[in-house]
Amino acid sequence: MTKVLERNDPTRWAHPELVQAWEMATAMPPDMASWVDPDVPFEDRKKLVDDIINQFNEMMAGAPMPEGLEEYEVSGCEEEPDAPTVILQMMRPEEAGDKPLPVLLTIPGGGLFTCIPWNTDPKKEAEDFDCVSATFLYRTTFEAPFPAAINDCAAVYKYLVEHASELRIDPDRIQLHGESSGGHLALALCHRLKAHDYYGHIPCGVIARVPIVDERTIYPSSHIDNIGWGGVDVHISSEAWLHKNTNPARVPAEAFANHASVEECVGLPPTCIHTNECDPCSDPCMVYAMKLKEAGVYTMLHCWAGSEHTSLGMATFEASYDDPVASYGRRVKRVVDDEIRDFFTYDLTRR
Amino acid sequence: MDIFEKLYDRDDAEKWAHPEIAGIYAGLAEFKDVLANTLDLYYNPDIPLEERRRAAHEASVMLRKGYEEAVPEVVTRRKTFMAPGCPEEPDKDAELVLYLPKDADGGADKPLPVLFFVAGGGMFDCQIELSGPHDMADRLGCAVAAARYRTALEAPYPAAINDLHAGYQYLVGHAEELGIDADNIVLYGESSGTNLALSLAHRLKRFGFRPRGCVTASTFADNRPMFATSTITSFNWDARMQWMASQTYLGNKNVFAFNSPEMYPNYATPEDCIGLCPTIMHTDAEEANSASCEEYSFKLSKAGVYHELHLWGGSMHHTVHMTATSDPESDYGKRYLSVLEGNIHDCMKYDLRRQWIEDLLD
Repeated sequence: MTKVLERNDPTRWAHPELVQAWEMATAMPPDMASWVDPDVPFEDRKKLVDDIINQFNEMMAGAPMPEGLEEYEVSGCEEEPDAPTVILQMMRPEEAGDKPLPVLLTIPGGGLFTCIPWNTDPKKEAEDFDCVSATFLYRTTFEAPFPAAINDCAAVYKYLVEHASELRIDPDRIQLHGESSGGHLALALCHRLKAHDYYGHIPCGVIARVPIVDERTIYPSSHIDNIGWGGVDVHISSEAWLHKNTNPARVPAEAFANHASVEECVGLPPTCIHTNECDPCSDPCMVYAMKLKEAGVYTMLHCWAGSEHTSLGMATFEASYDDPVASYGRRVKRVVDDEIRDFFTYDLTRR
Repeated sequence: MDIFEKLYDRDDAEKWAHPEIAGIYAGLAEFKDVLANTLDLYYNPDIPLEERRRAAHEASVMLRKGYEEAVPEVVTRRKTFMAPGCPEEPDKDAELVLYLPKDADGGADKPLPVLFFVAGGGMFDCQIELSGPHDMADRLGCAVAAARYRTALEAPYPAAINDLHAGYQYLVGHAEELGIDADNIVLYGESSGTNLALSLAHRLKRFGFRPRGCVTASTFADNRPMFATSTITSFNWDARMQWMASQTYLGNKNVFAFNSPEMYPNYATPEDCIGLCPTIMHTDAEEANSASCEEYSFKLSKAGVYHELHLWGGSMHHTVHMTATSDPESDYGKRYLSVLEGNIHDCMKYDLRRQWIEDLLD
């Protein structure tokens, strides 16, 4: 069985339409082990990651910020009132006027070591779904470990709800969306928000793509070895995330969602989880989805075959409805897009 | 826990259904008592088996006759063959039916890929015609073959698997004259045909056959009510009904912990799953069976099988499927169908079998 744990060869493991995306996704894996090496001084390790972020920013410098992007300063949530200000970015579709719009709030990913917003075009997203497209930067584990990022997410959600009328948004139709660590935080955030009764307005839906829902290596898939994002990477990332703040035997659901009991899942917002066959979190995602289902939450789960952590996302992001070759990516994109529309169209919360 | 007991019952469409499938969800509720009474008759061990069998048979013939009169195409396009028995039961022939897509010119072109359809019917009926196999052939552009397997009332395990095995074997052996591609057969099951299709994959593996994939809609992976979601009740099928059906199907083996995956797929160990064909399961969120699919999926994952799992929210057993095939306006139904049919097309278009895994382990 150990011979099938290594999943690095896309010609063996990938859906044929994803071979190229798989190769691209795993071509330059970050050396995360050195980011958490306790023998290296913290400042040196932080510099390694800052260099990567700077490189990325330089690469993106050519692309201008989209016109019409509005910025708001959000102060800390009640758990951490002195937290540094979070910058919330929002984009309204051009011809929306003043009518209150639903919000697609995207929580960026990046293994919790980095946080880089807007891997989609906010303008196009806002127009496609006739909604406000919003995102923000939360603190990474280099700045502060758990619960800093969750505090930042909660502060943003609270801000949206409390300033709904001046922001011209509908507080009952805020949808959370996140890929990878963004999906992780989206699911975990719901457990935090539940404790606050969602500040009076439950999210109309959550779409978590390839979320990291559990750091424990107790599932078969936890042992999957992949250069891009394997079981070892989950471990490294979660060590930095949980740090010394949490007794590892009593990790709360707002740190990793799959630590929730079924009771804790009762009353959560409608949730769609997308995971991939060769992702170390595919099994815990299923376990978590079954808890949601048992708790009576509107639950969707898709475990897509022939993909590792990021290849399907890349193929889907690039795919357009008209490309006849990319049928797999198109199929996935259609499902995700329809789920976003569903959450905006119907009230699927089960109060 | 009080709160959970309130969450077990998922019959109320207003509370549980996705709005676009609420129509069928609520419509089915009208037949709630009919279905419950039917199952209580067919699977009641206090009634002599002969009597139950006769009742199920009569109902099945009547249903089929009515459908065949309403949709004559299902008869006129049907080709019927008698497949000699499989090695496990050589003396028992099985009826195999074959439907070709409308535009197929007798296999003169390329040999056709085949959907090997395992019909559902609660294990008391094998409703091949009622599922519209001719439509499936046209929509998917492939041949649709189906073996009329013996139901649990006609003969217990392994009768149904033997019949399916016989049918598959016949297809492969007569591929050329039938104009089909013996190396491009995808197993496809609906409802109680799903556990049979998944079990058939294990049987075929044992005999060295290599289907291209196994796609299942509204999946049962296990008969045992031992999963967290087994407590969920819904009138269209739940753990109690599954248990009653499998008592008739498996007889006194129903309670064994170490049964064969040819009985129900989730009896497999991860080792049993090594070298299985690509396996894609669809399951509904408001019914009892999903967690058994999840557990089976873990084993497929461990064995490195190409596999996919979908859980459809706001749908009771088979409800999103029924909506998708009867209401072309439902976006939710269309989305479901695009994934399900996409899975089948993928299996036919690409060779997703991971032959190298077996080589690796030799």
